Amino acid sequence: MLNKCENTPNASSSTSATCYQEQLLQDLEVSPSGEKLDYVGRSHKIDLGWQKATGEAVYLDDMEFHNLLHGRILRSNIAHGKIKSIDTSEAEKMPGVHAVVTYKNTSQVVFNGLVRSIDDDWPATEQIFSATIRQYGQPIAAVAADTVRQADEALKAITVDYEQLEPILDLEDAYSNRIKLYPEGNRLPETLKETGDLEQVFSQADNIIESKLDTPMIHHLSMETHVCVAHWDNEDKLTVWCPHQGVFGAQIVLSKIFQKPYADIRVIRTLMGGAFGVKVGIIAEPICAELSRLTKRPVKIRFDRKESMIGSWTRHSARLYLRAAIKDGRITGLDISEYLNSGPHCGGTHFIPVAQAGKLFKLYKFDAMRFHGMPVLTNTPLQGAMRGFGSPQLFTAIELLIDKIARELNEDPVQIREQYLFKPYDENPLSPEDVMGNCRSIDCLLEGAEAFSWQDELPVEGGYLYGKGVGVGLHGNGVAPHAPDLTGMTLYLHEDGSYVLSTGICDHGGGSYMLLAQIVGEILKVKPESIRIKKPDTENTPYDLGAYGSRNTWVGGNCAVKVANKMKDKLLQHAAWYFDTTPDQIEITHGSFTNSIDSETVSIRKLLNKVLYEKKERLIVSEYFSSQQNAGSYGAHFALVRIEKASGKVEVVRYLAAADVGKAINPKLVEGQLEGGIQMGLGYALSEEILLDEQGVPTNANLKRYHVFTADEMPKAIELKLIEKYEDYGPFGAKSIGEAATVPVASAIVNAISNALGGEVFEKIPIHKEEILERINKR
Amino acid sequence: MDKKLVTLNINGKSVQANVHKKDTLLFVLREELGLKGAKYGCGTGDCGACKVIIDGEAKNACVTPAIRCEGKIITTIEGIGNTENPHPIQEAFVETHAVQCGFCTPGMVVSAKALLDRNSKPTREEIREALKNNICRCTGYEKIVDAIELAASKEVFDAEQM
Ligand code: FES
Ligand code: FES
Repeated sequence: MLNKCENTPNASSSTSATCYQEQLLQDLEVSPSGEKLDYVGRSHKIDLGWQKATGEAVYLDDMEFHNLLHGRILRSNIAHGKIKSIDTSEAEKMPGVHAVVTYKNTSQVVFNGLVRSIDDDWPATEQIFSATIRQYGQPIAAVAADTVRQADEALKAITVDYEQLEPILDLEDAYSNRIKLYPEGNRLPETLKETGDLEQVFSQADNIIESKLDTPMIHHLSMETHVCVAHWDNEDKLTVWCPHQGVFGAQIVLSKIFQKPYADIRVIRTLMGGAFGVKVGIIAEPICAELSRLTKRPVKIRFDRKESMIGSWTRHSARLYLRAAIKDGRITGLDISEYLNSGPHCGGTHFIPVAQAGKLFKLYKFDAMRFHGMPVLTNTPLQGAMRGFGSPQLFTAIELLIDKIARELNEDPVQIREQYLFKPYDENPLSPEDVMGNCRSIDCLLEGAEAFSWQDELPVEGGYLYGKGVGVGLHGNGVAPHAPDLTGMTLYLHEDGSYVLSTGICDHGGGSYMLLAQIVGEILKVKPESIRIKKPDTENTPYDLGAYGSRNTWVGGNCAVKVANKMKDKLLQHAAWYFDTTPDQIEITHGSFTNSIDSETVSIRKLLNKVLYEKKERLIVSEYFSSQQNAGSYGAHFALVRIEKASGKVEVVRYLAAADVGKAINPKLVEGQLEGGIQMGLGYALSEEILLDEQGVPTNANLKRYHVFTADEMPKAIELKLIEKYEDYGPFGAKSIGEAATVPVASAIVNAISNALGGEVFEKIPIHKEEILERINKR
Repeated sequence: MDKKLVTLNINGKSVQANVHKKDTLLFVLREELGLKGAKYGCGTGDCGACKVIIDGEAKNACVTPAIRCEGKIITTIEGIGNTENPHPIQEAFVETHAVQCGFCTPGMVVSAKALLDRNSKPTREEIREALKNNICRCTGYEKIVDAIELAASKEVFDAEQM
């Protein structure tokens, strides 16, 4: 394998991350029990890497379907109102058109597109189509035609007459119920969590420091836009292909909408071109299904980019008010109130504050803390799960406040944080049963600061201002204790020794399948690359809750350990039978078994054929794993920014992320998650925001005007430091990284900008260069 | 009625397609010619998922009318290499873990190929510059830049061996 430290040209100008990591690899080539690790801890190449690099990988839009029709959606051009009348008669007569659907001829079941169990009684307001308009871009009608062009032509022939109402866009305005989206009002279930005596702490404070932060709606921007194919066949069975993060959840929702038994609905996950949370819910699937129900032909809907931006989900925008109590130069209390935007429907938004509270009380130890989350319904685009599920909003706000306090108390940003961060195995003040585990936030902070040379003087350069910033944060591992954190796997061992791992877990593209194969391979001493993965399909793979909540490594990895150990036990028993000895005398090696008494060996192939024909048994084992613990994956990120005085333009010249990953099962995949998370966080801090005009109409729903960081704008030096201290409940000690990777980024950047500008306070992200210039000019 | 038979030179072969005047090259490649390697990411020329090389330059096929491509030399990801016989750039992408979900990857490889064809020894800054019209949401670009740098060094290495 290539050792990047030596082989990458200009290693010094690239990441030095790899060098830290090579060092760590040498230290960690054994498991905690002292066994040598063959596959875990090594950077095996991602599943389907060659196919992806050559363009041969097949995504859903690349698949061929016999007799396929193309569906296109007509969307509302107002954000709030009613359809007075809609006429599709002309469209129905257009060439190539096979079906037109509206609220008049489709299921009117009211649902929540995100429920994960048939019994979930989450606020449900969604319908496939409705005569009431609650967001710009809401589907009004859809057409299935022989070609996309014909479908688009037919959409133009549909006439709609709207009654327009004033849209509700501001979060606090929505909370006030001045205009009601629904008769019951705009408020969703709230979360209020408190530790210590907040009243007392604030009443005794010497000083109270307050802050506010508005965070934007951002676009997930999975490069593959939403796409789905549905086929309602002439046996009345519905099959849906989609790059979905949770096929079993999709099956449940579709069953509810169409009032069909699970057995009549099959959802097949196709190769995913990125997700980041946007492919958890039901978006285009029911429309596609309705078009197919009427035509009995497979129908494909592929969103264009604008539809993905405003017709799927965005990161929840939020407004946070914070206040901190200061007593004798110490922070004693923190009080946070958050208004959280859900858009026109609930989805899983009411869980965001629950999840935020679950993490908030695991970062800093203050005498008293309170968190009040108030999700509201508005006429903005729909807000949904996105990488970090509330953590980026919350921890950005907290970390900006901590820096503000540090400035007021004249303390160093690193030192002030160190005093309050939780230590490994501390008690969780909110719920002691929700363990902190081996939380290594202080290691991230201090080792990160040292590697970043935090104490060094800032560079001085004419025409520029330099600033440095730090941000700390965490994300969880799975969804326990808030939901049954369940996944199942079946491992098949064929008689020639080859394995198939069947899983309902969905790899979003970050490499979870290789990680599962490494774990199984490690335990069974078989090359990970040789293990075939059977991918999510409600008809053919075991259940999984869904690939969200940073579950894949934590829950999936543990299930892989469990199923591989079960297989190992079986193999040892069979080998013991073969040698007429006991399982503890058998040694398992690559491809064979050895009887330690006389060193006799038998190949796996010979053993399994004997087992099949003489014991009449095949090796197929299944296991379910339900996680009870939810450790934190911590990170401390550091940024050095350079601001051009003449323009206000920010350049991040150096960036370092220290991540508490427990154990990197595949270090290169971990690095990839961190680097991608940094790109997303940079946009959150500096450029990304879906903008609406006062009527709720998006004004930048395309990639020309909605700017994400490109290669030329990324920091020239990104350094990564993996803190691998082993988490007791993690598979091989590992914790999640995918979501945690992006949590501290925006705060590190904004704090660095504030530092460069002599302590300027920002109450909104993203921060554009025009605003920075204004601040520079005011100074 | 609005269609016209055009002859396109794609990956060294001359192919014919019946093209509507509004059809983009991306549409014709994917839907008429079955070349599905170039992806739809935005349709507005802003993400690079649909990159192809036209007369030596990496171009976004989603904003290129197919009808205007007659007489031009077009190379798609399929013409660069395949799993049987990958190009050194593709090998480098796999080698350096520059591939995650892979949806941006064909476009990235195409941009890299166009760059290395005109500048076989680019600096990291030149590589970043050449990718500025290619969005990747997964990798943060670091390993993609590593891959192209490695490919550049490999190609020289191969040449020296000969
Ligand atoms: S699809 Fe062509 S540039 Fe995005
Ligand atoms: S690898 Fe997913 S977009 Fe680049």
